[in-house]
Amino acid sequence: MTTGLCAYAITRDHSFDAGGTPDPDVHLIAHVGLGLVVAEVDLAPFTELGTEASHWSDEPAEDDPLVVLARRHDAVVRAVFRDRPVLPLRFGTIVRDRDAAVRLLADRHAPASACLDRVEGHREWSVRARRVEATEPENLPADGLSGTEYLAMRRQRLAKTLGARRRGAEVAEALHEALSKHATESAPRGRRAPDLLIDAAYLVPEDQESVFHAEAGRLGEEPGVTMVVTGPWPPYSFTRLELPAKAAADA
Amino acid sequence: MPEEYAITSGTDGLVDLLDRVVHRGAVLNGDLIISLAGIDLIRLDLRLLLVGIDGVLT
Repeated sequence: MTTGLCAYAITRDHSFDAGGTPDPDVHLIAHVGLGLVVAEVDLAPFTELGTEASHWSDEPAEDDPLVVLARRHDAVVRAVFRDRPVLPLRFGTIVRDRDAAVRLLADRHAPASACLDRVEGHREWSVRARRVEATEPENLPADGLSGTEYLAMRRQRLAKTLGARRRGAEVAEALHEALSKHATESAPRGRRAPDLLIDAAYLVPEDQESVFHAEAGRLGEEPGVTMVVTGPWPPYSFTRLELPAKAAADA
Repeated sequence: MPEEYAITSGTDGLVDLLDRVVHRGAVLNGDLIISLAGIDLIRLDLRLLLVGIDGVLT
């Protein structure tokens, strides 16, 4: 069995209890106030994951091997996140050994500490707002229309579509502005769909959560808007860690 | 805390989980990290899937 040291998150050094995690082997490797949350894992489930595009042609399901591993990763991160600030690491971060783990913390000590300070006392919430179109008959028959009438109809529809898009952009901006008032930071997710008004993560201070949700609830009641909020998440979307200059120069 | 918002199940929650765990989170590079080629491929494919799923959820 090929094993590796799977790194889940960076946190502050503390007396870590693996009791809340899905794996009793999860432990902390500490270095000058920081801790790397790791566990010795069998690498086979990672290397055996289906990587074919066809594997992902359907929606993901709970019993999918990748989802199972992702849930496990999330469970470990959350166990630490319950009472400490965390910097979640990307899924599948495998370090060579204990010495490598310590070096990794030493190399990134300053940016990692700064990042932990920034996310402390915050939780991440995902907000997805979509526009709901009022349904109306769109397929008017073109038969019986003169060329001029047909062109006029086409122009009218185009103007309507453009108008809706512009209104959509205005609504999106207003929604985002209202939610941002109660968040320290936000991160757009970069997905695009014509009806998607907002698809973003918000880093919300814990004492602002009830106002944030009241606001999201109120905005979700607006006509023509549906809102899906998921969370709370550990701050996955707010953990930018720069590669240290030395390592970058070595590469 | 508003527990009624603690939704991480369902398709929206699953998409958010994969998006966060597999695509977000701090990336550590360099010689200290063992690269798993398969995981890198999955990241590419999954990105396309998650973009596509938006249409499904609508």
